[in-house]
Amino acid sequence: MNGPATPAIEVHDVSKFFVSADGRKTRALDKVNLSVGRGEFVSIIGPSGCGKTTMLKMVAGILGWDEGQISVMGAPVSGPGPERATVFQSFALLPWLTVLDNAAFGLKMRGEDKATRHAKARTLLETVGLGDFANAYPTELSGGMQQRVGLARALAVSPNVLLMDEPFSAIDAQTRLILQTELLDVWSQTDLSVLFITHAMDEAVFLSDRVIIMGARPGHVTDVIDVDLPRPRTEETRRDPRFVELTARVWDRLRGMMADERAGTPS
Amino acid sequence: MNRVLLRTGRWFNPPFLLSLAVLAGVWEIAGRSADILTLPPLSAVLAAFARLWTSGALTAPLLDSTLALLTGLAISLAAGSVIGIGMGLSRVVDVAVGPFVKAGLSAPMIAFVPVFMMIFGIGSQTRIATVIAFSVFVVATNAATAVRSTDPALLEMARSFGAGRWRILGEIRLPAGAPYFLAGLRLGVARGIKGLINGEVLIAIMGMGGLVKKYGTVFSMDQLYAVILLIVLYAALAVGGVTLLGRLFLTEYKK
Amino acid sequence: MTSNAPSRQAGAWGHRLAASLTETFWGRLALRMTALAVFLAAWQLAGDDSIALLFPTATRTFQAFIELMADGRLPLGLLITGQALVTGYAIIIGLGVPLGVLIARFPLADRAISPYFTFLVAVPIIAIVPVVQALLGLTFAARVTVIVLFGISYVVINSAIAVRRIKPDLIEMAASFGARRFTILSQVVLPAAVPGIMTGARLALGQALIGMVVAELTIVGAGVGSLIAELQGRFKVAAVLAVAMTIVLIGLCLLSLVEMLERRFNRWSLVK
Ligand SMILES: Nc1ncnc2c1ncn2[C@@H]1O[C@H](COP(=O)(O)OP(=O)(O)OP(=O)(O)O)[C@@H](O)[C@H]1O
Ligand SMILES: [Mg+2]
Repeated sequence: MNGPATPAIEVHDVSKFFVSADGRKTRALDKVNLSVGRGEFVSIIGPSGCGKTTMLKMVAGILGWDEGQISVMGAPVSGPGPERATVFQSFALLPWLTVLDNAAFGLKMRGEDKATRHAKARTLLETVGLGDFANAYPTELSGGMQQRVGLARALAVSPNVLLMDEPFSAIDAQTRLILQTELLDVWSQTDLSVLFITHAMDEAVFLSDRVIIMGARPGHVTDVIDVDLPRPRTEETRRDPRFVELTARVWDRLRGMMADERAGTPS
Repeated sequence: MNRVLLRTGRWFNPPFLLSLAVLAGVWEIAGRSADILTLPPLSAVLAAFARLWTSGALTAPLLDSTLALLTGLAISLAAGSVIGIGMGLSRVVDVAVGPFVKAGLSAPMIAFVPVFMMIFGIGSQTRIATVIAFSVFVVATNAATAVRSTDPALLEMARSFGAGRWRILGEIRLPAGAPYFLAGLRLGVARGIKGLINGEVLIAIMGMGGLVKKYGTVFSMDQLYAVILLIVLYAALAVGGVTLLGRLFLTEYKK
Repeated sequence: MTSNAPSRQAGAWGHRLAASLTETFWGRLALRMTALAVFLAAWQLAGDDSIALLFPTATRTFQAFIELMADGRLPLGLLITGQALVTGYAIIIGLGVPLGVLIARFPLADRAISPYFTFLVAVPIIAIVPVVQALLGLTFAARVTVIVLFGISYVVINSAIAVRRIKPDLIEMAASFGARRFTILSQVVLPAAVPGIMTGARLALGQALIGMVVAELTIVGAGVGSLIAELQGRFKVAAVLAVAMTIVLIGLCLLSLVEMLERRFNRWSLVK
C-alpha cells in the first residue's frame, strides 16, 4: 500500500464496452478520470444511461472494465474488497431476514461469528435510529427506514470507502432531506470517503465537497464543480444564497449538455 | 411467466437437439446390442409406427378417441361456462360454489374413473365422463375470470347508456373476456386429453389408450412405443392447434 | 318513476341479504353449507339403491365408507399407498429443486434438458406407464417412478423460473460483500426462490396424487389399487365411490396444507 497521500478512489482513463444481444459492441464509458480524496464526499450526477451505475459497480469490484486503471486506497481493484461497501438504490434487503440479520449480512459474508456481527449490527442500527426495529422484517418498514438498514449494513463492515448508487431516489422528498443530514452526521464522525450517485442537483450540492458531472453516449466526465459551502451543513445551508447559486450552476451545466445532445452535436 | 417459460421450453435449439440425438443414439445402440425385451431399438419403433399407420390400425382408434374427446369437451365448455359465468356475475354464486370448483380443479379426479366404469360400463360414456371431470373446472374458473375481469370503465359506459345486466353480459363482458375463455379452452383441451387417455388406458379396451393396454400386456414393445408416440403427437397437435386457433382468433379480434 | 319503486325496494332487500351472505364469515359459511346440503340432497335423490350396480345414494356411500373403515381395509390400503406417495414426493422435491436451479443458472443445461420437462407437462404420462411397468415390474419402485414422472416437471420448471426471477440487486449486494458463488446460492438465491419453489411443490403434489392413483390402478399392489380392483370385481359401486371420495378428500387436505405453507412463504416475495 502507498502512503496516505494516495486518494481513496482513483479512476484513470477507464473505458467500458457492453456487447449487446445482437453482438454489437457499444462504448458505455469513454476514458473516465475521477478521484475521491481521503475523507472526501464526492457526487456524480448526469443524465440517465450515462454510465453512473456502471462506474460505481466497477469501483465496487462487481463489474469488470476494458481499459484503464481503478485503484482504491492505493491498491488496484480486482474484485470486491473489505475496504469498500455499497448502498443500493433498491435497498437490496433480504425479505426473509430480520432487520438485525440484514444489517449483519455483510459481516456474515466476511466470516464474522454470530455474536460479533450481531453486536456490531446492533450498534449501527442504533446509529441510524433503528435500535427498536432489530427484530422487525424489512417489509414492515417504510422506504426511508429500509434504506437506513442498507446504510447500517454497509457501515457495519467498517469500510474506508462508501459507494452509494442513488440511495435516496426511491424515498419521499421529506424523508430524503432528513436522511441527507443524517448521512452527513455519520460521515463527519468517521474518516469515510464517499462516492455518491444522484439525479438530484440540490442533493449533490448539499452533500458534497465536489460534484462530478457526466455526459452520455459514451459516458464521460464533462465538469467538476467544487462546493465551497462550509461544514457542518444544516438546514440553514439550504437557504444559503451560495447553495442556490451552486445548484443553479450544476443545472446550467447539465442543461447545456442536454441541449447540445438534442441538437446532435457532441458536447 | 409466459416469456420465461417460452425461453425455458424452446425445442428447436442446438443443445436440445444434440441431447435428443445422443439419447436416440443410445436408445438405438442399446436396443440393438442387448436383446432386451422391453427396449426395442428406436428404428424398430419408428418402423412399427409407419406400419401401424399405413395399415390403418390406428385410424379407427384415433377417430374414436377424438369423437369422445370432442363430446366431453363440448359438454365441459357448456357446463363450465354456465357455472363460471354465474360465478362471475353473482357474488352469491361465487361464494357458494367457488370453493367446490376450486377443489375440483386441484383434486385427483382420476380416482373417480373406476366408479365411472362401473356405472357407465366399458364404453364411450366412461371416457366422456373422465374428459369432463378433468376439464370442466378449468373452463369454469376461466369463464369466471373472463366475466369478472371486465374493465369497470367499460361497464360504467354501458350502464350510462342504459344497458341492462344481460345486454352488458352479451355486449361487453363476454367479448372483453374472450382471451380468458380461450385460455380456459386451451387448458381444458390439455386436461381433457389427459383425461381421455387416462380413461382409455384404465378402461383398457378403447381408442388409443386401449392400444397402449393391448400392446403393453402382450409385451409387443415396438408397437407399444409406436402408440405412445402417437399419443404424444396427438396431445401436442391438439393443444398446439387450440393455441394457434386462439392466437388467430385474437388477432382477428383486435383488428 | 313510481311504477318500479317497489321492485327497486325488493332489489335493495336482496342486495342487503346478498351482502350479509357474502361479506361476513358466518354468512359465507352458511351459504357454503347450504350449497353442500343441496348437493348432498341432489345426490341422495339421484342415487338408486335398488340394484348394487346403480349410482349409489349418499347414505349408501357413507355406509360403505364406515364399513371399509371398520374392517380396517381402507386405512391399511391408504397407508400402503401413502408410502409410495411420500417417497415419490420426496424424490420430486429433492431432485426437482436442484434440477431447476441447474437449469436457471446454466444456459446450456437449460437448453439441453428443460424441453424434456415441458414435454412431461404436456404429455399424458399414463401412456408411459406400461413402459415403466415393463422395465420395473409390478413393484413399489415402479409406482414411485410413476408418481415422480407425474410431478417432477412442475417443481423443476417453477424452481427455474423462481431462481431466474431473482432481483440481480440482491446478488450484486452479496457479491459486493465478497460472497462467493456457493454462498450466494445458499444465502440469497435459494431463499429468494422459496415462494416459487413452493408454488411448484403445490402443483407437483396435485400431479403426484394423480400419479399415485394411476400407479395404484395400473401397477396394482397391496394399496388402495387392489382394494378397488377387488370391490370392482364384486360390483360394489358404493364402496368404490367411497374409496374414491376418501382419496380425493385426503388429497384436498394435503393440497391445502401445502397451499398454507406456500402462502406463509409468500411473504418473502412481497418486498421489491
Ligand atoms: N449489462 C449491460 N449490458 C448492456 N448494456 C448495458 C448493461 N448495463 C448497462 N448498459 C448500458 O450502459 C449504459 C450505462 O448504464 P448505467 O446503468 O450505468 O447508467 P446510469 O447512468 O446509471 O443510468 P440511470 O441514471 O438511469 O441509473 C446504458 O446505456 C445502458 O443501456
Ligand atoms: Mg443507475
